Formats: sequence, C-alpha cells, structure tokens
Amino acid sequence: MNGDRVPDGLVEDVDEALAAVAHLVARAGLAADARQLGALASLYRRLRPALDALRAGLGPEAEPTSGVAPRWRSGRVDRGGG
Amino acid sequence: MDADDELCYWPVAALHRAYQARTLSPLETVRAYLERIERLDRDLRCYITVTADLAIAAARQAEARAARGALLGSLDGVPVGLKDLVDTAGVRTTAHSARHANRIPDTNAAVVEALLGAGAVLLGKQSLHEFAAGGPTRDGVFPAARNPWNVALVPGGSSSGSGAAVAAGLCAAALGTDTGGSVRYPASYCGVVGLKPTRGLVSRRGVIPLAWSLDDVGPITRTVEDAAILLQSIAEADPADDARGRDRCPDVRGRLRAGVRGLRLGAPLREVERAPDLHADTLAAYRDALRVFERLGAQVRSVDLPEARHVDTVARAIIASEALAYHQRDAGERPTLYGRGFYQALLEGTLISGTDYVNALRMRGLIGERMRELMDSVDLLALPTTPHPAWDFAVEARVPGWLRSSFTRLFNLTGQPAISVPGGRSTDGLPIGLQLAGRPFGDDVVLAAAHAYEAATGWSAHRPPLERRPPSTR
Repeated sequence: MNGDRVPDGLVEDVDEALAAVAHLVARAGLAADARQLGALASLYRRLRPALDALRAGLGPEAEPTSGVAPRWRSGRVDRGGG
Repeated sequence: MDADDELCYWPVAALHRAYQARTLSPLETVRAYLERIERLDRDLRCYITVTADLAIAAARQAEARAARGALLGSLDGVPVGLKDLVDTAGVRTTAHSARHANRIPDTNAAVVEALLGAGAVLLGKQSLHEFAAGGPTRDGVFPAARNPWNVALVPGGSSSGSGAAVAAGLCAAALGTDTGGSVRYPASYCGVVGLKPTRGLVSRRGVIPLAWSLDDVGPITRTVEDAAILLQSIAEADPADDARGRDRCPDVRGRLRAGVRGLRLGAPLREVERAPDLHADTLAAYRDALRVFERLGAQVRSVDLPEARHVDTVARAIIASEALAYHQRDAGERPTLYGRGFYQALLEGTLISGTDYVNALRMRGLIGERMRELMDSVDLLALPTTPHPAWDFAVEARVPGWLRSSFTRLFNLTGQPAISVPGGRSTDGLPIGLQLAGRPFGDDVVLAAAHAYEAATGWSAHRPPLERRPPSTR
C-alpha cells in the first residue's frame, strides 16, 4: 500500500505508467528490474480504472464501514420451499 | 495396485471403523503411506518435509490405544499432511520460501494442537506456492508440486502439495489455507474435496498469513464425510483469533445425510457464462450438476451475484495490501530471499493507495450486505470452482493473474462457507470441480448438499492413473 496516487489520465500512456510504477515501488522501499516493472505497469493500466470504478460504485449514499464482514442473521434453513 | 496402495485410498471414516474393529493396524497404515510417499513423491513433489520417525512413533501410540479399545476419536491413527505454512513445534515450517527455509517454530498452530490432540498422525509438511501466492515456484528452494492426473499440469494452488497428496494417496487428509480459493483450486484441479469453512469457525493462530482479513484454514479430503470429520475436529472458538465466530460449529457430521430436498439452490448462470476463460467442458459439467440437484429435489433458480464486476478488484486490493504490509521490511532489505513470482505479487501492493484499500474494504462491506439479501432468497449457491480444468506449467506462468476469472474469491470476501467437490471430467479426462456456498455458520448445509451430490454422481471415487503409467510418461 502506498500513500501516493498517480493521476488517472496517465494510465493510457505506457511510458508514464512505467514511470509511475517505478516511483511507487521505490517509495515502498522495494526494488524491481525492467521485466518486473513492465509487468507491473501492465497491471497498473488495468487496475487503476478498476479501482476508480470501484470508488464510483460505492456512491455517495454508501454508509461508512470498517470493512468488517457484515453481520448475518441467524436462523436455520427453511426446507419448506417457496 | 496392491493391497497397501489400496489402503492409501481408504476414507478417514473407513480407517476409523477398521481400527475400532481391530481389523487394521494404525502402524501398518502409516508404514504403507510412508512407503508410497517414498515411491511416488519423487515425481509429484507434494512434500517439503516428511516426518517419518515422528509418524511411526505416533502410530505406535495409536496402535496401543486401539489395542486397549481407547481410541481418541475419528482421527486417531489417521495419517495427515499439513500445508507448510501451518506451524509445527520442532518441525520446520518454511512457507515454501528461502526466507523460512530453516525456520523451526516453538509452538504448534491451534489446528495442529487440535489434530494431534485427536490422535492424528502427521506424515509431513506439504508444498505450496511461496507464502500462499504468486503461482507455482519455479526458482524456489523447493520444487513445485505436480498434478497426479498428469505431472505436466499444475495441481492448483496455493495449497498445491496438499491437494496433490490427497489425490495421489500420499495422505488420508490434509489441511490447507484459502485466501482467494487456495483450498478449493487444488481440490478442483486434483479431483478431491476442499472446504473453506465459515470465517471464525477455525482458528488461524499459528498460521503464517497471506492476508489477515481473508485467510481461512480448511480440510482437503477424498470424501465429503472426511471433510466433515476434519472440520468437526479443528473447529473451536479461539480467543486469540480476532475473526472468531460467536456461534459454535454446527453438527456437520450429524446432519451430513440431510439431503437437499426442498432447498433453494441459486445458480448465477449469467456470471458463469460471462467468464472469458470459461472452458466448454466446465460449463457442461456445471449444467449437469444443476440437473442432478433438481433430480435430488432441490429448487434450482437463476440468480445474479452482488457487485460481481468489483469482486476481483476488491480481493486483489486487499490481498496485495495486506501481504505487502506483512513482508515489506524483509522484501526491501532482503529481496533475494523471495522467488520472482511471490515478489511480483508483493510489488502489486505498491500500486494500492491508502484510499484504494479503504474503498476496497467499504465495497467488501456492500458486497456482504447484498450477499446477505441474496441468501435470504436461496439456501445455497452453486458455481463451477474454477473456469477451466488444470493447465500446464507453461500456460500458468504465461497468463497473468489479472486476466483470469475467479469464482472463488467472492466467498473469501463475505466469509461464507464454500466447498469444492468433484463434479465431472473433461474430454481430456481431467477433474472438474463444483462449488457450493452457503450462509455463514451453515457449513452443515453446505456439507450435506455436497454429500448428496457426491453420492448421486460418484465423481469422488475417481482416482488419478498413477499406477497405470510407466514412469517415462509421467
């Protein structure tokens, strides 16, 4: 996890995606060779829009949650059908 | 196949009955397994560490108890294996990583205490994907496990050695861990049963984590009844595990034969058919399975899964973040201790910002709420376990994770119980898994449905053709 956020508009550009992931990897204190960065940039270009879609999918009406799994109602299976 | 090899395919329940009747010796059984491991594991590579001396000593103790008519329970004298990230006191626990190549824990994991307390005999520690992620290890300190149906194929992971060993008759049962499907994938690829229990039913204390908020420990077995036996033995409320459930384990063995008549079975056909990597044989087996359930008296109805388009993103963001949080210091200071596959998985964590992680947690909450609403209208969900049968190591290495569909991760996000049970064979003769998921703490309903399906189809009785092939073609 990293505190930086690269602007969405960079995601279409391969070179800029590479630069972005290189920055994020270094910021996390890790190292990566060119092949690893290339694979990471490919993922980044797909993941970034997916994460943005996820945020949009939450919507303004979403209730805050700690992320803890939801509470489930107890109760046995009704075998009566219906 | 000679008599000793045949013995190595006996279900746990049958071993127990024979020990009780004193028609079978625990010591003979353990020796048969150790001989089979010695003979077959050079090709299959299921084990990182075989604990032969400990196993013989434990078998002698079980033998003495059997002679006195004082067996401890259904697992007494039963030979089991453990995924090698489950801590065992005095026995190295490597997580299949150079980082832990010589790590010997001082204490047992909670599940190991439970198994050994029930008299189970530990045969050894089994191979996995390094730290339970990143795919089969190609550059690791230990070799990757292979699929007993065809050693050119992956056994599925990350509990790869455990799934392969159970299928190959190299242990009677095993424990794996499941963060995104790691018990159910090898079960599906190897043609055995794999259960991810309800989160909180089985303690994770003493298990090296991949992602704290998604990890679960679960049994891999050859029959559904054996999965119920193992779950009943390892389920316990553990104050040291913050995911513990308030409910006690349901009587999964007592309700095993409850059947499915009258149950409402949700089939998310639209999501299944949309998977771009769905294999035609997998879809055909899935449709066949739905027809079997209808014949057994279940009401099959089409459903849509909640927020299906976000599930993989949420799971990926949480797993990558939590895995990196655990490994960040060592990965920065000693990167050469990690294989390339797992190190790449850690690098993915650098792409997830703090707000991304929080939003993933929020979406997981929404998915859970909508799943709860869905599960008010059905009793069970049925899906394929995997989009396709096992593929070979080269394809596994070539296709990046983000291009693969998953039918398993959803239930790690919601914490529901989910089982993979053998559900057919491909035109190439490879196993295909069927997945059933239920309500939290409805593990008994899941197991009963899987048991009914197993009894109706007989797929669990199929075995890999190990003895029929000469070594040169393996």
